[in-house]
Amino acid sequence: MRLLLVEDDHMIGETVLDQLRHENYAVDWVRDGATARDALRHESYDLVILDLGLPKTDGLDVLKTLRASKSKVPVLIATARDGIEQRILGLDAGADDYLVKPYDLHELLARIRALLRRSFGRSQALYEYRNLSFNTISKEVLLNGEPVALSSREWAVLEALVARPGTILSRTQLEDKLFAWKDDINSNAVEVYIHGLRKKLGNDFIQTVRGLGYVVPRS
Amino acid sequence: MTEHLTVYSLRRRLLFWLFAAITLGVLIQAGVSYRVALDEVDLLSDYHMEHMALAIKGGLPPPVMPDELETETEDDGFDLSIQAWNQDGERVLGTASAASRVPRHPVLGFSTLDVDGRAVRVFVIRHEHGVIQVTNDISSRNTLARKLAWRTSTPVVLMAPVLLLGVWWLVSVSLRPIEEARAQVADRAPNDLSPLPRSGLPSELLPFIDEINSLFERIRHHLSSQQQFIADAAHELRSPLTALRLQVQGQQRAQSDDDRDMANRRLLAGIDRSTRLIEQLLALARQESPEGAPTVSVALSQLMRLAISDVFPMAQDRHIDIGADHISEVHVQGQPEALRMLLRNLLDNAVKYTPEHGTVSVSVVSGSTKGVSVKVEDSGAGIHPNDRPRVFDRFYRGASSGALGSGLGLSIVKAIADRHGIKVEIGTSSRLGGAQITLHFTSENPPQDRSS
Repeated sequence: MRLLLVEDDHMIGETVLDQLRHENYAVDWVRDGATARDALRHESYDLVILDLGLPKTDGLDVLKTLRASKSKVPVLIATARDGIEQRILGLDAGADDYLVKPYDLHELLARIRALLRRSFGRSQALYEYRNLSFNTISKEVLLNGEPVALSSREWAVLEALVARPGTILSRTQLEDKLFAWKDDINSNAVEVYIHGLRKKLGNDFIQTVRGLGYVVPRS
Repeated sequence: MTEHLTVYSLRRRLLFWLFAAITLGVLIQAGVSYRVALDEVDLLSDYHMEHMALAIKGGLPPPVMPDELETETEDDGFDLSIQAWNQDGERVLGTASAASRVPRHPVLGFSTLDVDGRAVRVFVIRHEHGVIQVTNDISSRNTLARKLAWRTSTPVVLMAPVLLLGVWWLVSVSLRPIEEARAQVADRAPNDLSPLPRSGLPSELLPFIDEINSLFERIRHHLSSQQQFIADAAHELRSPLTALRLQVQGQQRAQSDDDRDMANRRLLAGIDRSTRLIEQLLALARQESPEGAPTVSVALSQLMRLAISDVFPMAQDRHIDIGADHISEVHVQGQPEALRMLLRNLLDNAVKYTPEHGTVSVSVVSGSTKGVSVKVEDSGAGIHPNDRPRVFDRFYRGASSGALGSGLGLSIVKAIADRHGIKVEIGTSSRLGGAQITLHFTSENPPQDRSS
């Protein structure tokens, strides 16, 4: 899952960034509205955590631009603006959730999970796919009821594919979900993770579509 | 409203003086009437006396005259007594009682005599058979004049209470707008600072009401800026609090010692940041409050040395070369602690926004014409011209500042500068390429050159 963190406060930003990475999200952190707008225009994210009081361009304007471009990416506003009107303004501008500072880290993470879940059309943290069951909170995978040990990167690849069964994801798309800007990307990293997953889950679970990418077939 | 010592009532004062004037007027009127009546009574009495004497002369010798002929009547009030003597000096006629009888007066015509302590008017006329003397008591004249004067004054005296009543009413009516305005102010809720209505007020009261309204306006402005400040401060406190909370939770979730160490470092930095923000808020509140420390003569060069030593450790940490180009030994009038804080905030900003291995340079110059000026320049990114008008706003951070500071440093600088009549100029350092901030100590703050 690739997230965009828009936060101008250095201290908040670095801690949230660390904690999100800890949760195996690929996170890009930008610190002003104009850069956020550029990032959203050029990259695809699974979720945006948006502060509103930003230098250069206000967060609300960033959000409006984003929605004007028909993007459906979930947006979680995390701001110090706590007025009722401001919350309404934010939600009406297209935000999916609104969190007021100072917020709790666990709540932030839970809301991120909830938003991601919903954006993939699921309403529960636990879901099953064929003979696999996924727990998106504990990041556990059970194969026929037996836990499977996955590395965080393997989990990330699997989660991206299982999120939209039947959708073919290219290697670049998967890389995007795995790595933030600052990470070093090994050219065949995705292949390595796919290989690992096949070994643990069985060869036919993730299928290769030649010249296009990978897919988890619809059950 | 609690100051009762020097308070006087306009209404009472007006009424007092108007009443006094009316009373005095009535008294003067009565006095003048009396004087006029007295003159007239004199004239008439004299005329009567002469007339009487001539009448008697014409009819003399009247062989028989009533011994006591009192010509006093209630109507005219002339109290004349007549005596006549023949040529032998024998009194042939006497109308007055022996007690009030006036001895024969040797001078012809009118004269005023003092007979046994009473003033008497005497008219003496000679005829072929002797002398006729008509006498008239001055006191009776006075009584008569009083009577007449009273008669003319009565209407005025009777009118006076009516007049006073009228004046009282008029004063009350005229002063009612003041009372109404007072009631309006008195009935106000403490937070109601809407302007007082001007309609229905006399032009004499309008300037006062306008001044009150303008004061209300200033108070409202001041209050709203205070409220804004509190709102801003509360808002600004959220960020460091959010950071603290996240940092604590980050520390709780840390899984390795390295993570925990880093989380601890961040937490401490977060606490320092909150502390600094609160200190800055306090400093700003103090600088913007009306009271302050007394103004004394301050050695600016010495203050600059103190301020530089305040930021020196931070500059060293960041390998920034901080120093002075030129320091004049000058004194200015001001509050030493406030001025030191001003300089420290400027230097703090300069060091903070200058990249490592950069340069920060200060100078204190005492120009002969321009007065004292202090310059702080650095080799940082400078302050963008678009930001310049707003950098003094509370909590404003330039786009390039990275939200490092509290956004209050320059607000504090401005507040102190305003209080000291110092002009702050933001420019670009031609030598170092970064920001250049110049403080101009204006003429209201005359420099006292005491270089020794």
